[in-house]
Amino acid sequence: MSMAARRASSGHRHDGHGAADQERAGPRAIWTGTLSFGLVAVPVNLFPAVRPAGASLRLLAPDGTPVQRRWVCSEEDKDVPWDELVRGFEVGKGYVVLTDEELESVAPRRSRDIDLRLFVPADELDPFLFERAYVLAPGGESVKPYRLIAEVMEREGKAGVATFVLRS
Amino acid sequence: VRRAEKVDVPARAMWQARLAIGKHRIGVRMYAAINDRELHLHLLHEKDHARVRQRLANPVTGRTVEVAETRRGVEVEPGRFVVLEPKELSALEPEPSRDVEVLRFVPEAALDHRWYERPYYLGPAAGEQAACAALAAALHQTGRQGIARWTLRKREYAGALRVHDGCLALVALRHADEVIVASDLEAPGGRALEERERKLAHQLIGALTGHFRHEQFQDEYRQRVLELIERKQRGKTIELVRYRAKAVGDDSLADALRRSIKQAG
Repeated sequence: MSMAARRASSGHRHDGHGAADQERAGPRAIWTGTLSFGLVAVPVNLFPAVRPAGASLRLLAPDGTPVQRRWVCSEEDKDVPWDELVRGFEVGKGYVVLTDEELESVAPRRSRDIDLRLFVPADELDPFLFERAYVLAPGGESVKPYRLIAEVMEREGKAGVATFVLRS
Repeated sequence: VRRAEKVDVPARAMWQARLAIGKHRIGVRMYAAINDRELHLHLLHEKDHARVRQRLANPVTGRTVEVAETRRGVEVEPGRFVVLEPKELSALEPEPSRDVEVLRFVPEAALDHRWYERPYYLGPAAGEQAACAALAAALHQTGRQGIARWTLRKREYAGALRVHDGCLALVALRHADEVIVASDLEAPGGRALEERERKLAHQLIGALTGHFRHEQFQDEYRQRVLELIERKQRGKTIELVRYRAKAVGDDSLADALRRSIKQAG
C-alpha cells in the first residue's frame, strides 16, 4: 500500500490536449478512482506530477543488437524461463520461498478509493516525508464535489492524509 | 508520503564534501536522511531453490555478451541506434569534485515538495562545528535556503541547502523537465459554489482534522509479508485471506456531507 499527502492547491484539471500535445508527451491519467472522506465520494483522475527525463542508453552487443537480460540458475548454469522463477527471503543459509499466490494474499486488495483519513494543517507535514507527487483532476461528469473540497482545503491551508493502493 | 523511518542519528557518512559559499569553505559530511526499507526478496529457480544470476545475451544467437564488449547506444528510430563510444561518453562526464557550490539564496517558500527528490543531512567535518552552526542559524533567521550544485558518482546534482530540525540538510532536486507545472493543466470551471455547501465542507474537514502522527501510517504490507515468512518458517500452513476495502455510498453531496459530519462528530 502506498500513501500520499496532497494539497488541494495542486489539484487542477488536466486540459483535453490535442494530438500535438500528445506528441509532446503531455500528462496522461494513469489511474481513475474515488477520493472518499466521510461519506463523500469525489471521482478523480490521477496524473503523475513528475516525469522521467533524459535520454536512456541501451546496451548493445558488438554487432549492434540490443542485448537481452536472461536469468541463469547458479546450480545448473542454464537459462531459467520466467515462469520457473520464485521469490525467496534469505533465512540463515536457506530461503523461505514465497509463491505469487501467497504474496498476493497479503497484498492490499485492488481498490479504487483514495481514502482520506485525516486533515492536518499543511505546514505540519515534514517536507522530507514527500516521496512523489501526483495531480488529481476531477473525473466523471460532476466537478462540484471536487471544487468544493479543493477550495475549502486551500482556503484553510489544510492537507489531507490519505491511503490508497497503486500498483506498478 | 514516505514512512516514518527517517534516520535520527545517521550511522556513517556517505561523502566528505566541502560547502563553497562565496569565498568561504566549510568541510561537511553527508548522511542519508532516508532509509531503504524495501524487503529484499531473491529470485530463485523453483526446481532447486538456487539463486539465479543475470547474463547479457545476444537475442538472436543466445550467446553471452561480456560487459566489456558491450557498447552504448541511443535508439533514434525503432531498431536504429546511434552508438556512443566509451571515449565520447567519458568526455561528457563531469569533473569529480568535493565542492557543493552554493550559487544563491532564495526564500524558503520558493520551492515546493514536487521538486524534492531525496534529502540528505550535512554534519560538520572535524573542527567545523562553529561554522556549520552559524550557517544553520543564519538560514533559519533569514528564512532562506541555498541553491547548490555538486557532482557525485559522475552525476551532476542541483539541490536546496536548508535547515531541518536544527540540522543542515541538502535536498537533491528534480530537473526542470521532470516536473509538470500547474500551468500545463487547466483548473476546473463551473458555477459558483453555494455557501451552504461550503459551510458543510468546512465543518466536515474540521471534524476530520487532527495532527499527523507517523505511527498511524505504517507499511502494513511489509509487516504482513514478514509475518507470512515467519509462519512459513515455522512450517504452518498458510490460509489465504483477502483484505477488503470498504464500499462508498452513493449520496447527494449535501446529504453526504451532513451525514459525514454526524458520523465524525
